[in-house]
Amino acid sequence: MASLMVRVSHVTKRYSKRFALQDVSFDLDAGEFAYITGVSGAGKSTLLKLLFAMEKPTEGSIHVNRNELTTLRNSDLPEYRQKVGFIFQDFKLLPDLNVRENVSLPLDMKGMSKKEIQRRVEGVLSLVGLAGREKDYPNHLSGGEQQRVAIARAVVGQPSLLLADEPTGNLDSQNARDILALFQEIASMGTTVCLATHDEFLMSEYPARTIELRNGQIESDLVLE
Amino acid sequence: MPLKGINKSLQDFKRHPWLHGLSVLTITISLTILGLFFLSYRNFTYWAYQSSPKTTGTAYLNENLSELEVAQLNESLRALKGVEDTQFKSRQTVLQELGGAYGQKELSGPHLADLFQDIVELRLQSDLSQTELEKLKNTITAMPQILEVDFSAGWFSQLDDVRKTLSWAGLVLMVGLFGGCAFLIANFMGMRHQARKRDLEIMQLLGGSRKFVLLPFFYEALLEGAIGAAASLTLLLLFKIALSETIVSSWLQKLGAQELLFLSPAQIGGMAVVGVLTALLGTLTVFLRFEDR
Repeated sequence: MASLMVRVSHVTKRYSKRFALQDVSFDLDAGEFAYITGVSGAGKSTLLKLLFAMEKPTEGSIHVNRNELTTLRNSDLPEYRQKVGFIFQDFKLLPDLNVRENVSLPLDMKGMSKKEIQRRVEGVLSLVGLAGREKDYPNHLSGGEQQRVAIARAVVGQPSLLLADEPTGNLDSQNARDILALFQEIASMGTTVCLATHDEFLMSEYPARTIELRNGQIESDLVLE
Repeated sequence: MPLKGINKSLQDFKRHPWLHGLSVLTITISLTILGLFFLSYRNFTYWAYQSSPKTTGTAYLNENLSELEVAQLNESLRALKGVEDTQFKSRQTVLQELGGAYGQKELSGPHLADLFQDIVELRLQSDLSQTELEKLKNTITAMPQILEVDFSAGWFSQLDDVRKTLSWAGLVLMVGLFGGCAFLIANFMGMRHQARKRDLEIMQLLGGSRKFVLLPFFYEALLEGAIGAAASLTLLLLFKIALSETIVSSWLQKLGAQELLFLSPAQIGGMAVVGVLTALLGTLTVFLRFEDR
């Protein structure tokens, strides 16, 4: 039996009088691949932000890998975020750093040795198909390549949970398919992948557990047999 | 770790040369003003001591002392602690010297000699304190052969007063420059922080600790302070060399000074410390603006 990685329990998030999420509950196992889907404004991004501890729920509790996020102190945030990978919709690459420096940043933060950083960065760049592009700067890369750098940076620290917010939103269909295949490969290595998207075509092409949100509530939770 | 941090800071110098340049320039200008003051202060005291190296005194003698009494007095005076040498001068010798000063062989006139007394000129140790000088003066005045004693200590006391005033002025100048410079640097740092706000937020989102995110600013301040101090010292050295060639050769030697001094090691160290501390104070603004997200 797979161990529990994420437990979202009766979570509500309210911005003044508007409910972004309302009484949302679900579990994710270690190594599980899941889509969070729904139309724009359904609460997908809010849910990911809560899972990444960028915000705190108004009610309910969230446990990620035995961390209770609602009681997490600000001083504990860096350590928590080093264990969770997040791929942002706008990539959030540092423009003044090249591909290698961007990808090695999470390892730098952990204080890893130069040799180990080099080994891991080379490995992950070849995984995302960017071997040989180490010295390029983000503004010299296409949208798909920037997305891959963001993925490489998110997985280089070997996180137990990988969160991705609309990771294929800016990509053409071929790049989107490649990246989804990559996510499934990452999940097969034991990382829990939670991906927010509204791209139904891709979801049908790479079927996985799908949690659908509507108006901040879970509309359906389809688990693949 | 410091080398790695300094290396990263140098990379940021390349990315934001203007902002770093302005901070360095501010430190350089402030330290140069301070350095000029230090330079003037050091040379002022040096020239002052060069032009009047010894404290002297004059003991005016009572009338009609025999040669034996004068000789005994000389002996007694030389035996006193603080007196290096003595020289007896009769009133005729005094008149001759005065005449020499006025371009005549000897001053003459009715009853002119009555205006002067025989004197003993005293050369005193230069390291005597004000209290010791006072004590010595009282001891000599109490001698039966002595009518009155006059020390040149007043000159030294005035010099000390000027030195004290200059020291206070230097302190005020240092504090003022320190505050003003730190304020300007704080603003440049703030601009740099603003320019890198997005980068810093990304680093925090990736799990960068407070130390990881803020340490580069600390190293940048250290570098700016060090570069500013080095630039300022170089400017001052060039200034001193240029000034030495023009001033020392002409009127400075008339004062008895052989050279123009550069800053003392303590002053150089002080300037470097002030430069670095000023820059570090400027980084406070970044530390205060930082929020855990």
